[in-house]
Amino acid sequence: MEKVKLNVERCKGCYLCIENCKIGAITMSSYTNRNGVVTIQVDQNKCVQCGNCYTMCPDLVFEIL
Amino acid sequence: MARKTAKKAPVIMKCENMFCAGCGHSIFDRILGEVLTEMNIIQDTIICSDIGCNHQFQYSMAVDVVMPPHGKMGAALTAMKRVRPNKYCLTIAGDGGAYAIGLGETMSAATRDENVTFFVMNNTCYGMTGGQLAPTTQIGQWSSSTPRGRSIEEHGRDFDVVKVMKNLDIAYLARTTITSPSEIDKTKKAVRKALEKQRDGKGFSLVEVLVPCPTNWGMSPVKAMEHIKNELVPRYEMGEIIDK
Repeated sequence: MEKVKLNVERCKGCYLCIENCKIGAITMSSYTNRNGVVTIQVDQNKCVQCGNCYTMCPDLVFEIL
Repeated sequence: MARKTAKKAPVIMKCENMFCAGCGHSIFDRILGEVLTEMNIIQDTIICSDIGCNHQFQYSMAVDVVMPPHGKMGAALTAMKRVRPNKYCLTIAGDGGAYAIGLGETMSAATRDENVTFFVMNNTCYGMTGGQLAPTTQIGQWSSSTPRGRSIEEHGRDFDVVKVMKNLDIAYLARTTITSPSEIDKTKKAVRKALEKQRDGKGFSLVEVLVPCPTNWGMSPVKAMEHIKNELVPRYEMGEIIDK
């Protein structure tokens, strides 16, 4: 089941989400977006929908479903 | 446990922003967008924009904006509020615009206790022009115009708005930061409270938010957040200082 929706094209690579994800569901991905930024990925099974990634993201990448 | 707070970008944020990676301005803009949406006052809000990095909110937020000359937000907000008293008049300013170039206007609006709201993003440097020394730069802090760090003998002491405005008869004064989700929640409460003071006609309100400037501090965004937590927060008085 998808718990969090990502718009990785907006990502600028600050990685505050990785730092603030307390259960470690967010990791670096191998995808580089149109800005040349190595983006992030979410382990949908680990995610508990706490919303910390949404709260800390300056670029509105996350949407908790 | 899953939280029951906002989890989706408010509609007022119409497109992606133009700030650097990890910039605190964009986090604050989203917080303000959420509060305006929750209070249902987007149509009744006029934001006074300052010159500096902070002005870029107008490209990504669907709000009405007035842009006066640099630092003159206090005077412009006073005029806006007196001409249209039923509108919410607020400004998103930087520490350069509110405390250096526009200190006279900011203090005049505060001493007159005008019914307006200031949101000041304090990143302890002049962010847009390249991170030069600002009045808020801390003693010992590196900036691009003080490569050996700020010293009291050479550059004088730093400016602290709480020390200056503590004894004024204003409605609300608070200092918060955005280093963690819990601090962001506190900031959101302070923003909401400041706007409610204006709604109730209580008087002048100012919320200072300590934000990172990773680009000009020469740090990664994560390190910049730790810098605020370890270096800036212990030096400043945090929380609600005036609440009438």
